[in-house]
Amino acid sequence: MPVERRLLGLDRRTLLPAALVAMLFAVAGWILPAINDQMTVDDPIRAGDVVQIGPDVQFVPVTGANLVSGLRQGQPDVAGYPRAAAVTYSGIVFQVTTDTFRGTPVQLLEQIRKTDDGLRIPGDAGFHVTSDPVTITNGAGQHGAAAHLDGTNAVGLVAAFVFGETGVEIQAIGPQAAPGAVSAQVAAMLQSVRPVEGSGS
Amino acid sequence: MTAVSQPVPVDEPDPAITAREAAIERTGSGNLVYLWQPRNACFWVYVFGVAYGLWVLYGQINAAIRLYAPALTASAIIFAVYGMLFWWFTVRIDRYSRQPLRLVIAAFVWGGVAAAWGIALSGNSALLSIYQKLFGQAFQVAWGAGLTAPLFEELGKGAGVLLLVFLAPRVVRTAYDGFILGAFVGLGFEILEDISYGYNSANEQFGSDQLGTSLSTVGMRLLTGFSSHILYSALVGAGIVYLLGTVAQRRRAGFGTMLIVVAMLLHGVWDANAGISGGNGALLLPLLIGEILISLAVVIGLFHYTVRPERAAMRAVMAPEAEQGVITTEELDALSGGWKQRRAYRKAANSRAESRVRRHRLEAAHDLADQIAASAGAETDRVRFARAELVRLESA
Repeated sequence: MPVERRLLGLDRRTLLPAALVAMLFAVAGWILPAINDQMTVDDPIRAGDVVQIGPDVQFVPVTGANLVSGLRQGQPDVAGYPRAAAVTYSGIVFQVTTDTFRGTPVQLLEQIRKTDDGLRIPGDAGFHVTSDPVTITNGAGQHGAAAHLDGTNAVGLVAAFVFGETGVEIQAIGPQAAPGAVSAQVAAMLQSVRPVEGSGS
Repeated sequence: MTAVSQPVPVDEPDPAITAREAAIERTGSGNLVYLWQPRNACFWVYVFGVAYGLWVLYGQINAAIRLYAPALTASAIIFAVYGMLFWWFTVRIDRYSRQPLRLVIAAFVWGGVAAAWGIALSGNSALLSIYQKLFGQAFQVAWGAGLTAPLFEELGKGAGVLLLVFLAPRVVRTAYDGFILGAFVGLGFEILEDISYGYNSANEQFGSDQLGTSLSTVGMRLLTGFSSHILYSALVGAGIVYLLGTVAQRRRAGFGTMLIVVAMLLHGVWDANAGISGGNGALLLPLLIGEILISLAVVIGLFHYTVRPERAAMRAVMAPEAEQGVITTEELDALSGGWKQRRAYRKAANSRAESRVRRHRLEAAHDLADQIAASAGAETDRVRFARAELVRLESA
């Protein structure tokens, strides 16, 4: 390559296409994610709101919680209701996930424990089930199983129900110490998890 | 008395040979590619893109490999076979001035590694999340993919063709070159994305039936994958060459931009089918079929449009061989024609054995064309050997 065509030792004619592609990397990899991180969700739960997860399961978030993902009952998207929903409340993330599962709540909790233990999350930021399961009961009188969940920077609980062939995983994750009133509200949300009336679960 | 000088006799250049040399020069056929170009900025961006994509891909696989290795293995094996079929098909349609293998591999690797994992994954995730925050989850589910994937996936794949045009300007010269390289970038993207879909499905049903959920996803991707990335990227690849212009392709910025936009539109509509159908399952199937047919019609139309100069170049390269009787006129037509001409040539055989000989002669004639292009029209041992092969097949 002739010397008069070089800039910093590189062929001038290749700089523009290289810069365009580098810019695409920057937009996709850093600029848009940074904008996304700066944006917050502001979708407060009002009295009477019910969140539905998949076709079969619902729960009642505490008034004042923020719906981060998921849809209110009566407002499905084109595919119905997503299989996961999450609300935040006083620093606690309450997340409900449903999917097909054939087994008992204790077996589902064991499956969740195996998954959590098998994942390699960067910075050891994952959670691990750290206690034996205990039986819990929701507001409809259905039994599930729950256990402590520990992570590097947060703690919480994981609970499992199985309604028919629909498994439900509930995670409530928050700071090491949460006020008693908050814990009570989280417990109320946990108890509100139940099958949708008429869903057959 | 002064002597009258006589004109020195000069051999008139054979017009066929001149046309051959011009065709070889124009198309860059037979030129070699050296990817190691430290003075080329595109080389460093290519290396960075692939390295970054590999790093992201490693992180994705490493996170759950202890749990879902069986699902990953099954998906990888199935899509490797699937990928080989498409690789074979794409090589078959690149019969006129074949892309060098290392360029094709570079295109495949960019699509499967840099475009998919270095660009599309993070860009798509961030933009989908932004749509959800701005317009709500229902909007994002209905339209998010259709308004995201065409941007980062088509631009990410097109970026690979753009880099290769500047890494191999002596080879990537025609819109058809861009079409073929785009198809290989799309193939790489498609295969790696499909494997990842299979792998990611393993955690459905809480990971309790990883092979069942993965194979279900794999089946769906096998049915629909053929009409997506390979096809869109072929349009984008040709569009980039038109947009840039080369020594062999006059710059047609409007047409090139239109091809890129059409690819994005086809991709966007395909990914927004949930929104377009409004969740109506009965409407979804006709929509999918209609979009596949339209996409195939567009790409086949562009193939026929861009391949014409390649066929003309093949005719120019091999016409002197026909004049010398190395190949017949009929073979020249078949060589520089489409599948109809090749089939007609084979069908004209009187027996199965002759049909086989005709097929071999066509293949050998392609080899001769490759060798003539590689030697820039000079008589080399390889050219002589390839020509001798044709003679051997004639007497076989």
